[in-house]
Formats: sequence, structure tokens, C-alpha cells
Amino acid sequence: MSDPVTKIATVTPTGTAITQFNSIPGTYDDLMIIGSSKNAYTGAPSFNICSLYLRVNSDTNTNYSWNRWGGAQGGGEVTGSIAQNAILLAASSTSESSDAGFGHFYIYIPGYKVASVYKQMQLVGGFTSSAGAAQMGWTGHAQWSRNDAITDIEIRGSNTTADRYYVTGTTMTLYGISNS
Amino acid sequence: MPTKHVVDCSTGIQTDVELTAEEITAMEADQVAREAEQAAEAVVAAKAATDAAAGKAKLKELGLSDDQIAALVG
Repeated sequence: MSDPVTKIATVTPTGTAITQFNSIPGTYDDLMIIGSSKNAYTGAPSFNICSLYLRVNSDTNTNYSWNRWGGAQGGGEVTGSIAQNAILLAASSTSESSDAGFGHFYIYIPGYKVASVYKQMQLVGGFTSSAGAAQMGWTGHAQWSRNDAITDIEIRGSNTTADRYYVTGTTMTLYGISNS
Repeated sequence: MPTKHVVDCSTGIQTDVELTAEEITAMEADQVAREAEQAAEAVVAAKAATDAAAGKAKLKELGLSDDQIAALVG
């Protein structure tokens, strides 16, 4: 019996807003990514500033859809979008103060190498301000509407300016899951 | 020049690669589109809030109590 959970790679990006897991082996059944993220922006967090974008196999076409439900700043929130060019993850904190913590996310991708179906994903994430005033916690679902096996995954900030760069302590780990 | 951090999962080798001009342009376009989408969502949310408040005020004018209005529309 193979190990049920295998760490494929860990990245600790700084000085960039983009990280990519490329040439993912097709030797597992499912994939899982667990991450903590903070960007260099020194103001309070907001959805726009704290969003991360996930893409698969360098696909920039409108093949992604996602839904998210949870809480945002004390109120309920249900939202989603179809025919997008990326999956949005509200999952990165800002560097608004020295004690600001890290945003976080969990992504589970069943059947990532099955070449005959669209790829679905379970998503969980959140972020908060140091004062707790601006915050979001959510769970969600997404789909990449392509049949190809997933070999590359990109997770990036909302733009390329230096204030969206990941800062020290940001960590993303890709795991392979074996079901037999 | 902005970079991306790339890990080759087959070898474990990690490198920082400069973005191409096309990648930067695409990323900036994404951001503009997202901001426009958020602005549109905010307009819809604001109208819904205004309509809800106006509807509750109208019910009040008709003589319903606050508790009755809350029971009807939350």
C-alpha cells in the first residue's frame, strides 16, 4: 500500500506575486494544496487586495467557474462566477501591522489526472485584519472545464505590483493523495 | 522586472523566472476586469439595500409594526 499522503513540493515565495507548481507527476489519485499567504500591501485587507488567482495548465481562457459561501465582515456572503479566466481565492492577508497574521487556504482536487472529465475542486480559505474588522472566511467549490490531466498549477496575487508580492512566511505545499 | 517562483515537481528544482511582457499585460487586464466586476456588484448590492429599505418604509406607512415587518421580510 502506498503512502496515503505524499508531499510533492513546498514553496516559500518572496519578492514575487506568482508561484507555480509545474510538471506535477501523474502518480497519485488526488492533489491537495495547503497554503498560508500574506502580501506586502501595508493597508487594511479587502477582497480585491487579498484575492489569489488559481489557474491550471497555463490556461488563461474562460474555462473556470467557482462558488463561495461564508461570512464577510460579520455578514453572510454567497457569491460565484462562471466562465472566468481564473478561480478566485480570498486567502491572503496584508502586512498592515507587525502582528497581522496569515491568510490561508486548502484546495482538494480529486481525479486530477483523469483525462475524460472536467476537474472539480473543494476550496476553503480566509483572511482577517489585525483588528479583526475586515475579515472573510469561506468554503467553496470550483471547476476547470477541461478534460486534460492537470500537470501545472499557478497561484498568484491580484497584480504584479510590489505591494502584492508574497512576504516571508508565505508557504504553499502540494501533496499527492493515494487512495489505494 | 516582476518574476514568478516556479517549482518543477519532477525534479524539485525551484527557480525565479522573469515575467514576459505578455504575462504582465494579462495580469493587469485581469485586475482591471476584477475591479470593474466588483464595482458592478456593489451597484447591485446598493440598489437592493435601497429597495429593501423603501419597501419596509412603505409597509410601515400601511400600519404594520416593526415586528410584523420583520416577520414578513426579515
